Amino acid sequence: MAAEYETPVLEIQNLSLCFKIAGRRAYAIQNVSLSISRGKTVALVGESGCGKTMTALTCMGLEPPSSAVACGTILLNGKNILSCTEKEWQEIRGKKISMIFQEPMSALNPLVKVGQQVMESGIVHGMDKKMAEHRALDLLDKTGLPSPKRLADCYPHQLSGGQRQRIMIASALMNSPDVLIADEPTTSLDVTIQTQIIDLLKDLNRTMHMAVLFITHDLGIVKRICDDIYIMYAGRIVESGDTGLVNSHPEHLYTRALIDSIPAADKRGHPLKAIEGTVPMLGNRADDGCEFYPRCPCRRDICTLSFPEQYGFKDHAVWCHLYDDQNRHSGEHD
Amino acid sequence: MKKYFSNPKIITGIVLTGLAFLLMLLGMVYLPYDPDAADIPHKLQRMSMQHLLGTDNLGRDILSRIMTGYRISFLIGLTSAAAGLAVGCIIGAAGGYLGGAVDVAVVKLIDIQMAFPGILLALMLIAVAGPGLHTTITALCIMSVPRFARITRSGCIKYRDSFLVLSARSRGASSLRIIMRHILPNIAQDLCVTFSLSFAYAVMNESGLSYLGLGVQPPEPSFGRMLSDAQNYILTSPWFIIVPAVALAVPVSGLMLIGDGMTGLKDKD
Repeated sequence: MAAEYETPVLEIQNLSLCFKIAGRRAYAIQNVSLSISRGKTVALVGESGCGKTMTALTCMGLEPPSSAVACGTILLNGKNILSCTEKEWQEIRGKKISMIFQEPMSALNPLVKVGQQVMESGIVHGMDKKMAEHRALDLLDKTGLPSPKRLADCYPHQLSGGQRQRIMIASALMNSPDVLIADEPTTSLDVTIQTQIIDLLKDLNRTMHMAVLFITHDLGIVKRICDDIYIMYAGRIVESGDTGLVNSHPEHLYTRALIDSIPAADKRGHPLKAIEGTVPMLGNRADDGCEFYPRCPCRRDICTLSFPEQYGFKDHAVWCHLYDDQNRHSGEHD
Repeated sequence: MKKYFSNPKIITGIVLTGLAFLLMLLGMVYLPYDPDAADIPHKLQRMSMQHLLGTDNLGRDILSRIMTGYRISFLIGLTSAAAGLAVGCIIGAAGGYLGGAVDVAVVKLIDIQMAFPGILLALMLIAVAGPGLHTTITALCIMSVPRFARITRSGCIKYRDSFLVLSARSRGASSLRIIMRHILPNIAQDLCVTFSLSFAYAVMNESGLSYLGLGVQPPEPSFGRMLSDAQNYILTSPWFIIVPAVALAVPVSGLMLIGDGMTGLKDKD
């Protein structure tokens, strides 16, 4: 069991994606490496504009046409899918990798019955109509929708936000994909529905043995369902590791700031800490150095000069100059 | 759907167009007189029980001629609007969805066609192929393509980067499927408006060409021809020109009203 679970289904290695802005190369994603094993849920966390969605879209071959993949590989079951043609991508999308979007309303076609939309992913991958219908109803039931038969005949505007998101999930699961990318699936929902959807995803992850890439900016959710966590800032991974370790011992100051900004019962009465400033725009990012520099409470001169090296290992790694000294020593520990 | 049939403009439009359509259908099974049979002794008669809408300069029954004239109008209007829809959708979707060089080519093509006066295009075709029904239909078909192409193109551009299309792509849907199933239904309303307007323009343009003697050739009855025949009698027998003019205006204004009503409803959404 362990061996099967240890081989990563999806492995991103040194992925960079750039746009040409005013004649300059602007990296939306830079040197991102990430791996997900079967049956695991991995979180990709960061503020808006950090490149989380771009990473997910690149995994689906859906990056904007104005961008270029500078380098890197994306291995799906050991095969590099970055070099796929559009035709090959169509085979992969929805069958091997599926995606759930943030806004279920805008991601559903308002003119097509939701049942048909769930069936679509099956039909485009060669499922016959009867089987697709059967499977769709089965999945609608599995996603916890009451009376699937009746709901399948509804149009998206007749459903509630939570129901719509369940429809999206059912549609993504039609072909039992190896990887499910959930791009902020709960952001547009209210809190009680959020919990339900998250429990559902966790449950499906467990029963269907999918690898789930969970994109969010809510560390509270991550704690509940994710095995591993990757913190992303301005297109780079700044900290990664086991969720428990990262949460209990956050190393990067950005991670600490994110954790501090979660509202919690024991912080009652104190003003909630927010991170000053915003993520630098794609066009104004420095070529070198740590992008968190302007917002970092412990910034030093070296931070503008070069991007820090990795400190730490597989279970918990961080990219920050704060640990430069320890980095030198860490070789000895090893 | 209900809001369409409770809109006064659309209802009026449907009634007017339907009236003309019913007259045409009736003309297929029953005509009061042979529309081509000249009856010189009874020429230029006023409306009477024998000739409900009077007779023309050759004594032909105007009502019968209108009923057969609608056939040509509807044939030409429907064909050119349908051809425009089919070709325009293909061209527009290719340009709008694929973008890049294809889009540039499509836009240039539309611009060239739009800048070219329709009558001139028809004249050119007629000079090459000679006047007649086929030439008229071809010319009007070509004239109606850019309108549909523009609507489809802008619709495709609008939806190309939407989450709707992104999520369809993420399910593995092909471009053709996305256009047919996800984009075109969403711009169906615009296409319907364009269809009814194109229909109306085609009917008018056909009578314009026929008026100039370049469209449908006699003895085939056509509104344009009737009007040009009648203009010599405009002072002595005004009903002779008024009746076909009104008969032509009924379906044209009906279709325009349908289009207008749908645009109004769409803007309200």
